[in-house]
Amino acid sequence: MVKINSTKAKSLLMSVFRYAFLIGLIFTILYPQLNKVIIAFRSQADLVDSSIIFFPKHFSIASFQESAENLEYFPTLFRTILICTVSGILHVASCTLTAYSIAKFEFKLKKFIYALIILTFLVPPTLISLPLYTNFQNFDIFGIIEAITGSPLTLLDNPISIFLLYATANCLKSGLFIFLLIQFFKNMPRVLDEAAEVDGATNAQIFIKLALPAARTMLVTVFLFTFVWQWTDTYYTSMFFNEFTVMSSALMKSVSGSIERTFVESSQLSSAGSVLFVIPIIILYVICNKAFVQSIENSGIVG
Amino acid sequence: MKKLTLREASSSAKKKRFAYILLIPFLLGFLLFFARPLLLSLYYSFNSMNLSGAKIIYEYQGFDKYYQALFVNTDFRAELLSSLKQIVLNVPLIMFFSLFVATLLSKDFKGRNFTRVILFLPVIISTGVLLQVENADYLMAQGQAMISDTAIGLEEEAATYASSMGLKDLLLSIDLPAQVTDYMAEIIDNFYIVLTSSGVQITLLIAAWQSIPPSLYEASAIEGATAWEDFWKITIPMISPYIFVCTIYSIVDTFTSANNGLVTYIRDIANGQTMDYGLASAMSWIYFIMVSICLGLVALLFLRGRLVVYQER
Repeated sequence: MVKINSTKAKSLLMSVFRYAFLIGLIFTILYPQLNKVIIAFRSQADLVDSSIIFFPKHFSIASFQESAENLEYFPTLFRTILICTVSGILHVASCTLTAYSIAKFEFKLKKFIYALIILTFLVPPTLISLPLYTNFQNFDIFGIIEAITGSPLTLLDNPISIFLLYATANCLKSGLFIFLLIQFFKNMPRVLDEAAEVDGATNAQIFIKLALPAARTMLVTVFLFTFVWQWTDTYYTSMFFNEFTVMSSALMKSVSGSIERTFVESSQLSSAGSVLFVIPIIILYVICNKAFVQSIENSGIVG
Repeated sequence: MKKLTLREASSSAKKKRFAYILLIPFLLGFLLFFARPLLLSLYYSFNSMNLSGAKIIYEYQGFDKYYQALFVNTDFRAELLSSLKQIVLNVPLIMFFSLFVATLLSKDFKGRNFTRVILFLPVIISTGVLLQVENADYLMAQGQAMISDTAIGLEEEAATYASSMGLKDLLLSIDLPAQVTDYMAEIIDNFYIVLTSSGVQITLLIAAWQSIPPSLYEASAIEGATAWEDFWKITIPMISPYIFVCTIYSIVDTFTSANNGLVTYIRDIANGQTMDYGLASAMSWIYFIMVSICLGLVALLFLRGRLVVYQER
């Protein structure tokens, strides 16, 4: 009897500890974000009122209006959504092709190419960023374009530069996605492929009609991650885009462009800007959180 | 019989061809956007660049830029060391923390899914530009707090920065050596970074945990093992391959993060007033070599040290 009581007490203590700890963690993650929202809602008078700790006395959306103006919110929003969507689709296509080839077939250079994929993930981006920039300044494919048009193309300030990187799976995190997809395709039962082959299906048919539908959730995940990471990206946007603004570069500009304001004001503006910036991807995450979280589990690294 | 092997041979040739066709986009991109830039940056690092008219003249200089980066430049070595320190300090913390949280979340309880969704949130929002804006605000808040100590809500971030000072005093007052207190204070200062960079790892480890067959625990319960023994003798060996993968991921994530001071520093060298591409390239190469050594050591530790148990399938 005593023994039962002590295990009960133990499990109660455990769950109290667990909840206390996890609530603490959730708070630590959410607090800075909530804080931004609250700060952004403060009115001019509230900003310098030292009696206000958290909730503003007078709600005001002035800072949102101003920062929406700075960001040119809606045009920038649509442009960014378009760019992220195209990037996502291209990235899904290129990563899937590469991963399927490595996972399903045996050929001489397989191990070598696999090593190259891992290498693209391991090399620090700063190492290639500079030559990459000059590469797109005078873009050419082995001199072909110069032979046709007489001079190399300039692809700076042009989203095609980013699209090219995504379409060839040579972006910052491409190696990671290819790795996940390889694990997934490797775990797919071979019996189905063999059955289809006996029925006379070509390799392309097996890929399109069998493998792609099976990998549907993984493809959605690669799309979502690419979308979100391209949304917040500064590495490519600061390197390639100068005049051409997307959300992330607009936010950077609006934050660094507010030097002449006081600290409190500019901090409020950057809070409001961040909130406006993050709302679309938060909505996306709330709708698709299953696809984000579960797909990492189902990726096949595990099991 | 002979016909069949012929057919098999042609089908395998077809398969090979198909495999290479699928790889065309990646290989093309690799040559244009990875290999060529990589070799160019190596070339830059060994040459000095001079503008004469519209043309750039390259002059071979050997290891001059590397020497300059390591022994002439005053900041680089410090930045390199602090970046290394960040990896050495944060990666074990991230791993312990992820493992700990994964332990808490491995069993079902009310609100578990909600917690997982929130813990994964930083993977979405604590990246790229938001991290940079946060850092900019944080630096400003620190600077502001130094200038004036008026407590308005916006400076709470600066206040949290100072919060580890109180702990440090407390620990010093109970006669702990200064190194230990410094280390603990640093852990606390880094906690937010650790928390926000553990999302992927936690999710992976929970999944790994759940893929352990329950029969193993049942068997050990019959033998009378305690939960503590279960943890060390079953759980840890079973998930060790994923601990390895997570460690590698954490290291790569730490050194490519927008939080990384060295990355920003090298970018400033390349884009700043000096525009010294060669020096920036040389620094990047030194950094890359250092990171590779780190990764190599970790791989050696895990694989040769037999910390990873691979199951036979």
